[in-house]
Amino acid sequence: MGRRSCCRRPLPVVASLGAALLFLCAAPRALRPAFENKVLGSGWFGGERKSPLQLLRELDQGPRSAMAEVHQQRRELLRRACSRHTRRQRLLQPEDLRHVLVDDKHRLLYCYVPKVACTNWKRVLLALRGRGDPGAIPAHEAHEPGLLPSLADFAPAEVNRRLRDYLTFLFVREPFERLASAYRNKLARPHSAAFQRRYGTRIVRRLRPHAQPDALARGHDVRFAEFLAYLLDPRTRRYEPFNEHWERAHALCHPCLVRYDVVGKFETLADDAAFVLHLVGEPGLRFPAPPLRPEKDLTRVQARRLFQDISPFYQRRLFDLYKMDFLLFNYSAPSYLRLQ
Amino acid sequence: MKPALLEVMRMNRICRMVLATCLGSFILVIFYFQSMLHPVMRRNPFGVDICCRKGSRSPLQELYNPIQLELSNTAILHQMRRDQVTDTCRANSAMSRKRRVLTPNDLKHLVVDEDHELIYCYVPKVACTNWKRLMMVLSGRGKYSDPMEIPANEAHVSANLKTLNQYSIPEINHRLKSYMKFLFVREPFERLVSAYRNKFTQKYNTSFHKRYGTKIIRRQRKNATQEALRKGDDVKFEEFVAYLIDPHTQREEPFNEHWQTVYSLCHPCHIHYDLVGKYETLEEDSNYVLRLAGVSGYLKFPTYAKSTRTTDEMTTEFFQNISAEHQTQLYEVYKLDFLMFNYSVPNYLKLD
Repeated sequence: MGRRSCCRRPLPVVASLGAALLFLCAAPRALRPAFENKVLGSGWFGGERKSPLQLLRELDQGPRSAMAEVHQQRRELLRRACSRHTRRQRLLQPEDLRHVLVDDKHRLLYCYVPKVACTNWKRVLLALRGRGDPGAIPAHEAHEPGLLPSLADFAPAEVNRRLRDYLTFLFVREPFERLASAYRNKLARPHSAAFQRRYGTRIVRRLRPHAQPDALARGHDVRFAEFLAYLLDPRTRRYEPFNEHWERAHALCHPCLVRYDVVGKFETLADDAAFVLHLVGEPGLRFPAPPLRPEKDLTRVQARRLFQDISPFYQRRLFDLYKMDFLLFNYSAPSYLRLQ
Repeated sequence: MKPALLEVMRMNRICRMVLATCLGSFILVIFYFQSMLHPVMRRNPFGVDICCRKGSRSPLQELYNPIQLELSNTAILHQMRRDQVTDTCRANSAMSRKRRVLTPNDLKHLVVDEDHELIYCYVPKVACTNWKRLMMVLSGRGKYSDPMEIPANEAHVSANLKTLNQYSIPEINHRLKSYMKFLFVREPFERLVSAYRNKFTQKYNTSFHKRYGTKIIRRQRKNATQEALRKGDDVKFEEFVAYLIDPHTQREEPFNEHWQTVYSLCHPCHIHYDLVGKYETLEEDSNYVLRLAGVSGYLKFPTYAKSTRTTDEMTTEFFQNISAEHQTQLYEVYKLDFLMFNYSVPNYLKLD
């Protein structure tokens, strides 16, 4: 009796493990045909229409429009900055390309940087895959993992083929405005409770002496100064890489190793987005309109206000931490900083 | 009871003596190692000839912050060569359609010497046999002492040297950052003629005749004889050039390393070489590398017979029979190597 009952129990476990293994073996195969089919079913078969990269090259060679001129200058500035400020000669691991999203049908590669309109760009990419109006796609759905393939999922030869033939673009933002936006959105707002439990509690535990039990449990009232101290604490990055919301753009997208054809800026978002969509050649598609508030001035004012209370010592150290993003993407040091 | 106690006391004394001896020995050992370490730490920084590398500066430090003044002029020369590569890469990237990222497979030509923190990218027909011999001596940990003792065929056995593609990506990145990287280059058309003479006119290179010679003849020679198609051992230089400029050739497979561009073998726009040696100043540049590695006291670049070397005059003769059109097309194929390594357009070319 005892032996029989003992023998019976392991069977479901073994069966579950077997099933799990079978699923793991099957899943990659199931995923691969989908991508391969899209490659084979590319709308560019037979050369009906020019790819975005071909269009961009033609724009660069012909008499240039104002927009093409702007983007040519940005590419040149980025390339020069890479040459001057970096001596990087490393190989990229697949995971380094995790932030580069792939649209095989339209031959696009987009490196997303959180807090730089990436929700809307993900909506646009989903719309290009046949999801209709980007404005109608809920934000949480746009961020669902696995919906958009990442360049990290491909073999090196496939990566290089796409880098050669696809239009590669990213959008960047003034680094301290982006940081202020990440702080306000993730650590200061009530609706980000899960985020605050994960990061806020850690910040409070480490940087706030005699913290209240409520603060230790919820992490909901992190001050900006505490957030910055957390970023500057060497232990933070030793423990794990920066969260993508405050990781430097150059560490997410590797712009000195991957060559970007279009560098869009948050400050000229509507124009730059229109330029990219023009190259894509989908006239019916519109980049979702930003909320009806003076976004540019508002974020600058917010950043200035937040940095007002930070000591020059911390301002200097924080600027050094994000300096490469300032240099590579041609942002000058904010006027409200007191760098000594 | 008393005898037992006496025994215990005796044992205690014995134990005490053993303990005292051990302590004394331990202290002696400590002092010995301290005295061992002291001379190393206080070694003369100008003692270039000291063989032992541990505790001395790395080749990179020696290169970028030379102590000896006589090295400074050489450092300036090599800085100019590095700048030339950088400038050409920058100019090229503005026009280039090549936008790939490096993968480990691209690093097959980079030979690693772990002991001296060196990485050497070998380019066939640019003294690479002798440099491979040197790398075998440097990384052989005493197995070899004289590079010329090593037979040429053994230097080319891939198992005898470690290449950078054999490491994991983090290991590769660490070495690219920390090791001194160098390569040797040669005037591109002189290198090409040297490859042609060695691979297509020497009787003993039958494997090259069969693999490449037959293909070249089949494609480039009208009314080829059956024997020529079978043996491939009488390829003319004009036929070789026609094969190189035929777009079909590189679409079919990459160029063989003996006539592949340095740009494609060593990736100088992705990998920043700290030292660019030139075939024309082979001995000076090679001995400079050895000096930076801290081994010039006992290791010299081997001098060898120049009687078989391909020279400028020889190259000129070979190009006499090449049409202006083919010369122009061939120059385009190797243009980056000319520009990157500061070789001027040969004056025997009839470029329009």
